[in-house]
Parts: sequence; structure tokens; C-alpha cells
Amino acid sequence: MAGCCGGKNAGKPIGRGRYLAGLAFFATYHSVVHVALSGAAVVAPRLVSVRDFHGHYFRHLLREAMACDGITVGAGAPEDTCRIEAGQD
Amino acid sequence: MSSQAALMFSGGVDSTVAAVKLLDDFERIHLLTFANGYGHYAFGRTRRRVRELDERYPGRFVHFEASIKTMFEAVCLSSIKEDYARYGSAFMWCMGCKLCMHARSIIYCHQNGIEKMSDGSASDSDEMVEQMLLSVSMVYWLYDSWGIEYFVPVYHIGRDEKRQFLRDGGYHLGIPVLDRYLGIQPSCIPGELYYLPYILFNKTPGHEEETVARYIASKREQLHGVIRAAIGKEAI
Repeated sequence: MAGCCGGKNAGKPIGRGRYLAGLAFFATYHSVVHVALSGAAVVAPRLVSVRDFHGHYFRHLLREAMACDGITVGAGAPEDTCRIEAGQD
Repeated sequence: MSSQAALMFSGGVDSTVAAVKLLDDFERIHLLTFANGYGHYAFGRTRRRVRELDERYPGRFVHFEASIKTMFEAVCLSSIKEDYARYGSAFMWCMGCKLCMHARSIIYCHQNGIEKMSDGSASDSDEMVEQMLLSVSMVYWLYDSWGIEYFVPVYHIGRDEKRQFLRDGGYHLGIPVLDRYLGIQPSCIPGELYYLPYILFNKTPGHEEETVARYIASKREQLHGVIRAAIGKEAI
């Protein structure tokens, strides 16, 4: 798989249930981290840049996840999925 | 048999198998474990693995733990917002951390007269930015600049074979979840966040080879400077 798809599962379709559960977990985990970073940045100003970086990154990923950008939900494997890995598990 | 080599060591499947494999060629293996101070936790898991190795091969391993926090802050965090804007991905957190671990390893090798350095990079984990063939290749040249030979003893050994190797040796394998074993090596919250879209949604991680190469190249001089300051020598 080296240099092929960025991981053996990359691009493989997922079910709607997994997508929704994943979205909930994703948003919760990032939110908890962001709240913790925001609190820590008050005490330790050196963490302000880390908090801001995380905030940008979280918003960017959340937009992508909600738009299913790069995520295949409940369909067959897309044509550009790595041919070597497709069908393997 | 050569006298000694160093290995970047977490206690996970890859680095544990690498540690045992190195015993065939080296008398003593230095296991190097680093923490960047930003979300790394559960280092007791690494120590547990070291105890397992010590029980099986007494006197063959030396375990060294160190913080790379200051270096990580200087090399990676000081420019994290700018780098994020420049590269459009957060891979530089993981890549920057790993580069600092390599720089610290070079310092350790110089301080201890070690000319061979390795890690548990594996092709079947190449969705991880620091284990891409490109990253491994560029790291090779970083070590080469300091007269150290960097090699990856388990790069082409499959995950199943490595797991079986540990099972046969009676090592603790942790909790199987999806295609990973959890609880056998330290965790990293930022790393988990970065790979979360891949784990949850099968979304390709956001690091293209060309972008990663530019990032590593951009940090090269800074890394050399850190190493130079620590060991008081110039790169070759």
C-alpha cells in the first residue's frame, strides 16, 4: 500500500450509522480538547497559539466531515480507491 | 556482532519486534523514549514492555527516557499557525514531533558513541505521516549528516507476522480494537485528533508527499542547529 492510498482503509465506504456515531464522537472529543485548551491558555499564555491552531483545524475538519468531503457514506467503493487494497480487509 | 545500536521505542508492536530483531546483530540495544509535553501520556506502558524485554534478555537493553518539550516548542509550535496556513493540514504536529525525537536521538547517539539508529517504522502504517517512505528516507539523510546510520528493521514485515512474533514470545498484546492493539504504548491526544477522520470515517489523512517533503526540508537547518548546540560539533 505504500504510497498508494494513505492507509489500507482510506476511501472505503462506511455505513450511515458509523458516520453519525463517528461525527458525534469526533465533535465531542475535539470540543472537550478545545475547552481544556482554552482554560489552560488562560493560565499558560504560551498555549494561546496551540488553542488557536486547534480551533482552526477543528472547524476545518468539522466542515469537511459534515459535507462528507473525502468520506463515502453507504455507497460502493469509489473508482479512485486503491485497487490493490480494494476488497481486502 | 557489533557492540551497540539505538532504537526509538514506544513498546508497541513494531518497536518491540524491532528491539528483539536487533538482538541478532547487536550486543546492547539502547531503547529511546521521548515525550513532547503536549498530550503524550501513559508512559508506564513503555516501561512495562521494557521489563518484559529485560526478563527475557537480561542486560541487553538500556532504557532512556527524555523530554523533547523545549525542542518541540522551538521547532514545531513556534510556527504552528503559520505552518498550518502554509501547508493546509495539521500533519506538522506529528511530523514536527517525530523530527524532534530524531534530533534528540542523534544527540543521544553522539553522547554515547552509537553509530546505528533505528525505529519501528513500518510500511503497513504508512498512513502515518512519519512512517511514509518519503519521511523515512528524508530522516535517513538527517542521521547521515551526523555520521549515524539510520535503518528500519521491521519496515517490510507485515503486521500479522509481527503480532504472531509477540504472541509466540508471550508478550502482552493489549486490547484488540479494529485492526490495532490498544494499551501497549503511550498515547498522544493531538495524534489521535489528527488521525480521527481516518479512523472514524476512512478519510485519507491530509498529507501529500510533496507537502511533507517541503515541511521536513524547511525544518532541516533548525534541527541541525539544535543538534549542533547540544553536542558542540558541526554536521558532516
